[in-house]
Amino acid sequence: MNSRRLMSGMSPSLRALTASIMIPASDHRGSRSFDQSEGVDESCEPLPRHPATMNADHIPRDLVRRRSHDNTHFERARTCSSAAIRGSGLAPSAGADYPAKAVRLVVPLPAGGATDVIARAVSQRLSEMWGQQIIVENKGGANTQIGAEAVAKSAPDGYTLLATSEATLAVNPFLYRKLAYEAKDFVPVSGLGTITQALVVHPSVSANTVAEFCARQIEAR
Amino acid sequence: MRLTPVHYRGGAPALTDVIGGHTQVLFISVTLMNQPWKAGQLKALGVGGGKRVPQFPELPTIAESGLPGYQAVSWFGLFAPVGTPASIVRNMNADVQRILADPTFQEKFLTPNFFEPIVGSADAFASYVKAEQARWSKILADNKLSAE
Repeated sequence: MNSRRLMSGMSPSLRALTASIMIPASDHRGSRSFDQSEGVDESCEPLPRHPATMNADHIPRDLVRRRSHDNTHFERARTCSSAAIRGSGLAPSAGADYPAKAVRLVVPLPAGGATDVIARAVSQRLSEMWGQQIIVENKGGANTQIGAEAVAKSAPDGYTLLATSEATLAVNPFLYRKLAYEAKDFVPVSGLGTITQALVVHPSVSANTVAEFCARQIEAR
Repeated sequence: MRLTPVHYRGGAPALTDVIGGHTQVLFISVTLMNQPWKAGQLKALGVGGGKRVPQFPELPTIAESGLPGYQAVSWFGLFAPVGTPASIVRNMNADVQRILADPTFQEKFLTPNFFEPIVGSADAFASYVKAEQARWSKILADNKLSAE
């Protein structure tokens, strides 16, 4: 829901009422209810950010101070900003509460393979960081096309993601004449990792180096 | 150089066949060939990365073995449907990058499985993907490879 669009058509009083309803719910790990009729907190002043987040766009969840029983800086900041929101009639920015529910991660390759292994390892850590489940779904077939198509057709709301190999975006578009998706259907979020391939031969093969192997194969033609 | 391609459903069956001598040569991830190679079931001629694999310093890269610029690397990445809000993409990238940079994660997961992390922002990864698309499209065109 685009809250700005919703709000812009409203009368000022309705906007203020809506703003008070649309204040982001305190994070699910503990909410402090406060009197909605409070005025602006006169003691609001900018509070220092956690040093690890000084250059970050957002504060990772595990650095947000959990609710504690004393009136901590972060809790005061939330009160302060909520009061400011009530006053200004603005709604929270898109993504402020992401993820608010379980996230689906499609892996278009079999369970136990390299892609699946790194996707699961990273998503387990992400899930802990976010305090939300990430459900990994293996959806193999047609050299990752089946799983990729499913994600390409999903709502772009951050709740369906794709963890895949180079096959999907770097190889398939040039290998197949017709694909069920296009490379431009996806936005790259983050690289995960690389694994080097090795050239191996059966011990009976006489070459001991790449150069010897190539030479022998060329001769054998 | 003529090689006859044999298609397999995955690395494990392909590995079994080259160990058994039914096929003679294979490109396979260092993760999967590590143990059979150490056990003498296979000979490893080289690795396909830009530099030698830290765990196998004695194994040369194919690029330094007479085929400069040669690359045989698998990579893995996280993608979202186009139109996903930029703030979500940016924040998710930051979270994933934190995980990949964590020394415990590197020690317990990345290194033992022979993964090297792909570092960088979402935009940097987008450039990486574009470069890979250019590389693969050329390889497939030069060798007239297609699936149909």
